[in-house]
Amino acid sequence: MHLRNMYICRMHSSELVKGTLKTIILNLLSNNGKMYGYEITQSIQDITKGEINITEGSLYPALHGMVAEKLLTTESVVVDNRVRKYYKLTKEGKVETKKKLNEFSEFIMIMHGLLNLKPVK
Amino acid sequence: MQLNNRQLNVIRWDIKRRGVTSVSLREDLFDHICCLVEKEMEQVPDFKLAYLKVIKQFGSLRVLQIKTDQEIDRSNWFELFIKMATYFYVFLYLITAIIFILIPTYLFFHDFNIWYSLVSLPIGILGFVIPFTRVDYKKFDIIPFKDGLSPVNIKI
Repeated sequence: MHLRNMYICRMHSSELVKGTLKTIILNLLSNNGKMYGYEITQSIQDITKGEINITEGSLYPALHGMVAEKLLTTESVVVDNRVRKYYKLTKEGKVETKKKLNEFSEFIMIMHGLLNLKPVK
Repeated sequence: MQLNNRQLNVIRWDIKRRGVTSVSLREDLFDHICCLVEKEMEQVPDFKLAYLKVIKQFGSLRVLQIKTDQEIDRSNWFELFIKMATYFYVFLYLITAIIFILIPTYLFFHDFNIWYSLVSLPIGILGFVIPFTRVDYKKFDIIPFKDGLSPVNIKI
């Protein structure tokens, strides 16, 4: 059971977050410049007021995958006697962020029309 | 609460012991776990209890390592595919251009058809030159797609 929890972000709709995890991370890095892993998880929790909780089991594979895709680059800084790795966007990463955000925005519009959604009160 | 060197060494050793083989992932997890333990120790100032609570929350680190490796492999396969496709695209372009240059040469020397060769030769030369107009000579990169969305630049 806990293996399942490790992969899936603990929230009310984990499947939706799974598909948008890269977009979320890219957008956060685009807004904040550079961030480290723990900071990313805390930032997501703060922004969503605890509604979305990205677990380490989802975060680090995604971050390392994006480094391999050359969308992100890392910068190591020594803080409190330990190495802290900051992630930041590359040139390709910035282009990908815009692309992903546009894609997601279009998807939301389509879903809005398709499901005939009404604003939540 | 800041962890001391002994506590940091315990965490570092335990992460390695739990099967995290990649140095890069180990650095990430080490800092992440340290942050969580420090936060936890603000409530309960017992390192052992705080660490056990945090590590339980993480689950299997070995599985996390495997999942990260899979993600990196997937990304590298994608990159390799794009790279091969881009090389193929440039190769095809050059072959076509060479053929266009060879046709007028053949026409000129074989049939002495000057008019056909005068029309097709500029097409061939243009075809040969166009791929290189997108070369960034300062970085020696060919930029294969005009919109710059390609994740790969070919190094020559």
